[in-house]
Amino acid sequence: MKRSNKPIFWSLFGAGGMLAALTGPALVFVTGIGAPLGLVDLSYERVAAFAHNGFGKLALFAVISLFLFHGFAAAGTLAAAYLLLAS
Amino acid sequence: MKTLAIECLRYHPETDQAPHYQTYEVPFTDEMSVLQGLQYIKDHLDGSLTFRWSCRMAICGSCGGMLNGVPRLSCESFLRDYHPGGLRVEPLNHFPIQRDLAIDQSDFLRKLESVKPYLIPEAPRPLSEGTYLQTPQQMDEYYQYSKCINCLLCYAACPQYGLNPEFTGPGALALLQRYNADSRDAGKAERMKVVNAEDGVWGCTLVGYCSEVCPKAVDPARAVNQNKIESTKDYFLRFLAPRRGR
Amino acid sequence: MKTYTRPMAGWWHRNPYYLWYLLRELSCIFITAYALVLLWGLVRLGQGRASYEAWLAGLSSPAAIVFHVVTLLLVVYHAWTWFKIMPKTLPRVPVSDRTIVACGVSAVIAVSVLLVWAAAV
Repeated sequence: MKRSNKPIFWSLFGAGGMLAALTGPALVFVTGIGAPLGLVDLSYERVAAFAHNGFGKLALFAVISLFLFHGFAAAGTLAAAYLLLAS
Repeated sequence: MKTLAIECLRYHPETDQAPHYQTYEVPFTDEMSVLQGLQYIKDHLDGSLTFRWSCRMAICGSCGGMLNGVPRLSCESFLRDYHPGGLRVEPLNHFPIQRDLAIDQSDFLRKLESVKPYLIPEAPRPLSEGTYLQTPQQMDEYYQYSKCINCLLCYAACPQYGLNPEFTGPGALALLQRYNADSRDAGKAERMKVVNAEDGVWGCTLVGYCSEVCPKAVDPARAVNQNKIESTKDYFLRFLAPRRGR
Repeated sequence: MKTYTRPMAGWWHRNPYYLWYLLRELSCIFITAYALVLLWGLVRLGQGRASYEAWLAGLSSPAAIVFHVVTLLLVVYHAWTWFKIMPKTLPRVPVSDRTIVACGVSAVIAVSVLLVWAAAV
């Protein structure tokens, strides 16, 4: 039996899932409800400063890339299952 | 006396191209199990109905089936719980049907063999050395996995096994963990090949239904997913530590 | 031995447990979609003030709000199922499963309060 390369993807999936579980609800609330209702300050100055800051860059990169990874891994499983059925 | 309509899947390979259903009106009392209902059908209504059973007490693992679409042991399910709605009895999902409610288990038996479900000691132990000693804490490490009765309800529950019969599956992997976690065993390295394969632990997406339906609370989902960590460690650390006895 | 193999088509709607599982997996797809929304915001941020403020205004559009409300529900469901299942993925720890779930949920609440407070006006 060939060794699977899944450990790489699983680790990224796990990291993305943990980050999404911890920060997802708050982030979606901030951009989806907080911003339209004016409860949060997402003005250009503030966000640009955050994005220029070293920590901010790391945080944004981690959130976007790991969220993408988490979703793709799950979507990949579903797609594979669907394809297995369709064939 | 109350009766329950039990609808059974029927399939006789010598005459049938495909399965069909047959309904029986079964008189029952409150303490009768579904197994007893099937036995009533066989003894009084239709002797041709085929199903497996043995101990009647949820320890032999023979009587598993789909009861209204849920994997259950028929000896510990009760007719009163399906009254008056009705009960549909089908063979365990995800296995080929052999005859009526009996399935072909040979795939599981192959998977079980592949995980080497026996103690592989460091070195053969002569009788003169006496018995193995094991503390209660050491037994605790593997005890829940040792309760598996090979009933296959977890395989019937697992959609990944249904979609991909090459997947080693929850039961076999739980038994693999039972031996890996036993202090008397030294065979973990030999079993890693099964664990690390695409159809080893990586066929699992943690649906978790296997642990829900297990009549012995073995928790195969936990066994499989703890081995995902082992497999990941093995994958990344393999270049660091030298292997002994591979 | 002649056996009969039943087809798997439609397996997911034959048992409520599988439907909840699919909902959990669906939440992951919305997480990807949300990441793309954030990525798009980052791109617009890089293009300057006017671009970014257009993206920000877009968050108040009906489509954005509907998307966010659905995503919020799914992301909360995701967080809940994530921590409920986490005990099964951990090696043996001297802590009960219930404690692990409780710690996880508490962590989500704590982090959420912190993030919303940090972003607040």
